[in-house]
Amino acid sequence: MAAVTERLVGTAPRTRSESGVWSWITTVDHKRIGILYLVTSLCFFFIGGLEAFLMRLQLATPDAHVVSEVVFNELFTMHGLTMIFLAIMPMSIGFINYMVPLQIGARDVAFPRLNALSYWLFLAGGLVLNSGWLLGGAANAGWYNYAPINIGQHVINGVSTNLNPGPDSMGITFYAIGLQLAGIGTLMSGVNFIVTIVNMRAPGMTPMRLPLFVWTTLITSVLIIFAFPAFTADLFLLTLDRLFGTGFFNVAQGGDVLLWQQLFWIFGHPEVYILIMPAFGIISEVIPTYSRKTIFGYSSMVFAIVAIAFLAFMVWSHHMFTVGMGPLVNSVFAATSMVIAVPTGVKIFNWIATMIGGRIRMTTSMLFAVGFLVCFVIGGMSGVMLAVPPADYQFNDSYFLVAHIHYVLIGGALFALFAGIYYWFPKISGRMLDEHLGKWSFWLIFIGFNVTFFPMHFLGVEGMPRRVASYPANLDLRLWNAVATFGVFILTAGLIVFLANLRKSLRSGQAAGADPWDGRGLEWSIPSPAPEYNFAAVPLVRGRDPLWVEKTYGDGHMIPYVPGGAAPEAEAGGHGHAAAEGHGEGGPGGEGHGAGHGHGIHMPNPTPLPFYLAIALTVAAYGTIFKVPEIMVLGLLGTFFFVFRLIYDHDPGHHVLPEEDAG
Amino acid sequence: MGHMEPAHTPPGPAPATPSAGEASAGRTHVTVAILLACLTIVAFGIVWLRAIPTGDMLPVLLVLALAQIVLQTLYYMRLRVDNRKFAIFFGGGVTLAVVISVFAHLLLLAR
Amino acid sequence: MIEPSHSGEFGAPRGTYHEATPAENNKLGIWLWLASDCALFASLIATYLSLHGQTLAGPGPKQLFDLRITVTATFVLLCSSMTMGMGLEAAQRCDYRGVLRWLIPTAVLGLAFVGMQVFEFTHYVLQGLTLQVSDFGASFFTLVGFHGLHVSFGVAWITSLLIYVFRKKRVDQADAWRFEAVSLYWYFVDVVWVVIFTVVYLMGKVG
Ligand code: HEM
Ligand SMILES: [Cu+2]
Repeated sequence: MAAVTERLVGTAPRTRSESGVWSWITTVDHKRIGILYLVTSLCFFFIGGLEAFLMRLQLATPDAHVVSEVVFNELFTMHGLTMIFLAIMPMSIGFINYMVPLQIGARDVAFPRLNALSYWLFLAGGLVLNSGWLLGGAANAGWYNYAPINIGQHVINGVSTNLNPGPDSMGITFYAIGLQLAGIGTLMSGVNFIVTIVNMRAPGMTPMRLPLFVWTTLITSVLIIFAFPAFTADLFLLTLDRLFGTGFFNVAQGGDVLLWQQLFWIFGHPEVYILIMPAFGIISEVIPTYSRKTIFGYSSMVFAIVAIAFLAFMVWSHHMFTVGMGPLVNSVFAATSMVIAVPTGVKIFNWIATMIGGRIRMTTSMLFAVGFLVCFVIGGMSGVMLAVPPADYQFNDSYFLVAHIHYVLIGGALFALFAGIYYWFPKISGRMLDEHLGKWSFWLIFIGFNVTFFPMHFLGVEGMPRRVASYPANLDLRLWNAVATFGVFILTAGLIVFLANLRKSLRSGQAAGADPWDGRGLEWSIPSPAPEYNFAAVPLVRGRDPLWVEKTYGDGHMIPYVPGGAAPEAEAGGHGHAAAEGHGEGGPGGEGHGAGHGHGIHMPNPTPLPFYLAIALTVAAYGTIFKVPEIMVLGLLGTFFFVFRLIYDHDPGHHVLPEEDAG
Repeated sequence: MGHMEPAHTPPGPAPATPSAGEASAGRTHVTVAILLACLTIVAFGIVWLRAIPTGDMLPVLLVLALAQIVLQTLYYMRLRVDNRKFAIFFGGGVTLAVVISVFAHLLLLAR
Repeated sequence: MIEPSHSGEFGAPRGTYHEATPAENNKLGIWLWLASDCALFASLIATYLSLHGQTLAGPGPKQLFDLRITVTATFVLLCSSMTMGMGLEAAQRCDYRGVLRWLIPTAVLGLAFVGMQVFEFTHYVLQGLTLQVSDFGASFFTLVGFHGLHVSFGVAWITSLLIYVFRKKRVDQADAWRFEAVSLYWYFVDVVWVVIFTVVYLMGKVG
């Protein structure tokens, strides 16, 4: 009984100190997988940044020869792919992994092993995609990879022509297979998060009490599971075209180049919302915390999230205004696109209203959140301009579009992710980031970003097309290009300061404690870093912003949940085991409602199976890319072997004693 | 699965008396199978015998297919009795997928 | 500061709290996967519908399809759905013999379906329809073949489950979800076949 009434905030340190590479390879802990995602995505972010840097060097002056046209094509393609699929999306997934179970009061995600598999497939996909650089050329047809450039060989008037200027355009095969791998991983993440959020909330965490980051995760996951299949199919057709000589996108065989575009954008537009939704969620966590106010208009926020997701499926053809679908179709898609601005506007106003009258603390995280508001509004406005078809005939494929996507993706998604890093880093690492360096990094990044990308609006209107490796001196494009490249140096300086800050904090950062920001959500009710089992006792949620509710009406600590008001001893006795036994993919078991009397909290065991499965699938991937059927078959057999091993492998799990009870 | 459920009935299968449960469940399966078979035969017959004008064929065939799908999902896949969440996610997703692909198809044909 | 809000947002939860079991999670997960797979098939079907007119030099659906083979295959799959249902009931009764009695035929019927498809495909290839000759060929083989792969995976899954229970020589209540999962998948594959049968074969014959 004593343990039950004991409060949840403790100083429980890690009960098992795990380290070493193997422990990371075999981990099924959502927090460690989250860290893997975050670190990996940061690495890919710097690779993508390097590519961008080279491009800006090339474009700084007219007629430059820093890189060749062939390499330039690879650079802008790989830059886009890396940033979208390997940096921003996985960074969001990293935060989702770490934070969502904590925010809903769960001990892990619904399928811990599948979670590990998602990560390894994402990593495999990223490596396969990038290995193109070394193995015959990286992808070079733009991130959207339009047909017919993406099929290379093409028959025009009976003459076989290679439309792809790259070296045999081998990179497109890496594109098709690499993104397929990463995509499968993302799909699994989507399923995993939905089941987690729908099924595993703590008592009292009703849908309308969910933190908004959890809501955006749920909706992002829905977007993932319904948008990615179109891309999967598209990539599948592309693979067949390139390796088996079908002609889905080849007009000479009766194919249709627009088929690729349709399927791509059916996926592609929801994808941009997959990128921005978690960012919305982070902003909705950060602003209330640093304004000391609950979010303004919670229900309208939820409604806006759902509406945006729904509309996101209805606008894809705004990327194809100029292919000639006719005025009727263009008008319909223009209208649906503009309608999206309405729920988006609702969100912006709610964030602003949250700040009004709040006691605002301008921490680095809050600075990034405000920076987000400014830049994302600019990006949204250029978006609405692009959504006007006659105007888009001018803007399409110009630097104006480049400005738009960077305002929404850097000023939007990335700024929010930085806000998230500064906000949650103390929870993840147990140490504070330096605020002084943080503010330096913010201002450098913010100014550098705007100096780089605002001039691109002008360049676009002046007619500079995107994806050109150079421009002649007499076109009067020098000034703004030089300014843009200058901005990149400021931006880079900001990023270096950020890295220095990370390093400093990890080495000698100030200890964070459980709740450094006077937080509102469940994640701040447990020690930092979160212990393996997250919650020593399942918390009882009594309102929105659960921890804040306890700070206001209770004694500032979460109340442990006592099942049905029954005597906790009875609960701890027989519950859990029978239900948790015999399931290959069992999450942390149910016992330990009341802080695990005697036998502790049931947690899943580490396993290397997901890692092995990803390796087998990677072997199959390379077998396919290099057209070696034996290796492909071998890899697939291995894959199925490990799939069935995973299905039938019995995980007895292990029990962890929460610190309070151990003594 | 349910979150806060006023009165929770344990999920999953629990037929009270094995033999009775077996018989009734078995009967449902057979009935549905027979219905599905009939619908298939009708669809096949219409096409094989060219029983109705070609112009009317398309909607009739679609309706027959829809009937089969509904039977299978409601009874075989037990959406009728199982947790509502399944029906929401699955039904919503399928509707979305169908609407979008029909639209994309029309756009591709329109050119 | 926070107010107990208008819509009763503050307060302890009512009712009993039911923590989801792993089996319940698995089932929801399967449903989500199937929903997502639907979107995948929808993409491939839209592709087929958009390209099937492109017969070029190859044969077209009207001359090619033999509905008698296809309708037989349809019945085979239909029967397998029924046996699958019986097998599931048996599993839920923890009836080991019943599971074997119904699931082995299910796997065999599934295999027969795949066999008929292989036969059908070879037949078409011999008549000159290949992946490369026309986009009717490409989209037809891709869509129908992709479904065939689904059936094959289903057969493998059922077989693995049979091996699993055969090794234990019994079926436990805790295994019920395994059967439910495989049955959902199997029915789903059957549903997709209804669509393919109608859209590709019947309508292809009508023209
Ligand atoms: C008010 C909301 C928005 C509207 C109306 C809008 C509209 C548009 C339009 C019409 C285009 C196509 C322009 C063209 O190709 O000529 C476009 C491109 C793009 N948008 Fe947006 N957008 C909005 C918000 C967003 C958001 C939130 C994101 C991502 C976080 C985003 C990311 C992109 C990207 C990546 C492209 C470029 C795709 C490419 O490479 O061609 N947009 N947007
Ligand atoms: Cu868009």
